[in-house]
Amino acid sequence: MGRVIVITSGKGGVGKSTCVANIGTALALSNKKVTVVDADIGLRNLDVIMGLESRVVYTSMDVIDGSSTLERALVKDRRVENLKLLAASQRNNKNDVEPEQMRDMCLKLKEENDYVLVDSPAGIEQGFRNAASAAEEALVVTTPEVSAVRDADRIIGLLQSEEIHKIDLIINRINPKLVAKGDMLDSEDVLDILSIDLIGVVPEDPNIVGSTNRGQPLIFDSKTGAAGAYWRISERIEGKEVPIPEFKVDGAFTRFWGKLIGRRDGEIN
Amino acid sequence: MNNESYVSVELKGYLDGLRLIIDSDASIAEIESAIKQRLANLGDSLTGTTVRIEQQQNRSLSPEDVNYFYSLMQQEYGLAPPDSDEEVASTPRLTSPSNEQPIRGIPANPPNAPIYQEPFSEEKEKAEFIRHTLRSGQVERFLEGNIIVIGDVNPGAEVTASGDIIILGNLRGIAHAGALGNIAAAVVAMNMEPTQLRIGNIITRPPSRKRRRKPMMEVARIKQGNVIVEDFEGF
Ligand SMILES: Nc1ncnc2c1ncn2[C@@H]1O[C@H](COP(=O)(O)OP(=O)(O)OP(=O)(O)O)[C@@H](O)[C@H]1O
Ligand SMILES: [Mg+2]
Repeated sequence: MGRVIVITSGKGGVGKSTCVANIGTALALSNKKVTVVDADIGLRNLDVIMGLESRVVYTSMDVIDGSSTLERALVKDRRVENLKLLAASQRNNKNDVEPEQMRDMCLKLKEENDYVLVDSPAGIEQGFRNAASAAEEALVVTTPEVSAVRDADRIIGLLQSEEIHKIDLIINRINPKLVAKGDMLDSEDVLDILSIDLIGVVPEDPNIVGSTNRGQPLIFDSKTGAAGAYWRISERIEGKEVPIPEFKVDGAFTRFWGKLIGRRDGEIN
Repeated sequence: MNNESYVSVELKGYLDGLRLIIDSDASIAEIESAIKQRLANLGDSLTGTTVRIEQQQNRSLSPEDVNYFYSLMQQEYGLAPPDSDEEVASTPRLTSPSNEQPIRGIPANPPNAPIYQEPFSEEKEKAEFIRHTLRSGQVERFLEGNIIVIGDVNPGAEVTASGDIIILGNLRGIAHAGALGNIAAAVVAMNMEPTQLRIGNIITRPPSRKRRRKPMMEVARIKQGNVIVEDFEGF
């Protein structure tokens, strides 16, 4: 039995799908069985980010209406063992799927995988509820912007009311230069409001765009910058103790102070 | 005129009204002009508020001088002297700095707002406990008494009670105490940084302040038509 983790945000465009692609790949590269599920029905793009678009034949919609089995709808990633994708239909919209249907699929996938990562659409409507329906854990992604943090807070409240209580935070697109100038919220500001466990801080990384366009998650090619952060997040998901670096202007990083990492009960010291 | 004379006139708001703190070794005329200067651009926002004169130890104004300043402030600025004659006669001396906090927030001045002396609500019996953080979009309302939040009230969250609101955490959203019109209601928070604070029919927005001030327990309530925030020292 694996773990079903929903990756969600509230605000759109903060980097959920990029996280799912990279963290899913990282887990698979560490010999875990992983299926990533695109729950952003109508606006699928996880397959694009992962470079699997041309190989999608069936989608979760086909599984729901019976035109495909679940097994057949999974697209295998050829670059890494044990990584599969369940794509979303582009012809349908979020209300064409019921939370129970999504839940059933994810629970089946859970039996055969170590990890099922569900890429949630932005927003707080049915698409989000579908994505969260089978999850027992959530990764909430936010950028260090007041509006994104506000929406993340909203989503955390909704996750808690769906009885999901293991919720970890990913802060994406931290720009050390802007933090140093005082123009950007830093991790501590964000945690002060959200007060959930921080599982990773991903820096703004210009290489992300190219990797997305090539359909090759950055993690295949790099161990630094954003890719390094995704690696560490995957290790923390696995329960390893990996310190969260503080990104400094000069590129070097030091460890966060204990005050901040103390929030993950004893995980990092 | 002695060019080494020193005049300091400070105006601070406290639970029981304003205090005019005079520290000076200058002449009465100089103090008078300093007081006028200090009060000049307040407009009529403080009309009806009680003001009490306090002096630093090194200066002893005669009771006549003090009374003269009280009548000056009453006639020209509508500020009322403290109501007991005794206090007028013997102005209290400031021996140690008070730990009460001056007024923050925008003074709202609803016309004819009654001034309650009893600072806390009568709805003391009933309380609703919220045992979690209220996050953005979450609203809690209790119109039969007080609300106690064990957690934070985040930006975008709202908590409303007919009585008092006590937040054992950060208040960063909106709190509305005395929602049915009880302007004697109070809001208490471990860290008072609300988006907006409403008590009875008065709505205030706190002044923006420096980030990461050391949090401390504070209480907000209406006094003389203004919302006043001070250190919380128990009900
Ligand atoms: N760490 C990063 N550094 C630089 N660019 C990034 C980073 N993370 C994401 N991006 C860029 O941000 C954009 C949005 O990313 P992504 O599609 O992953 O967000 P999303 O949350 O899934 O969006 P949606 O809500 O539309 O599903 C993309 O162009 C991506 O390349
Ligand atoms: Mg996406």
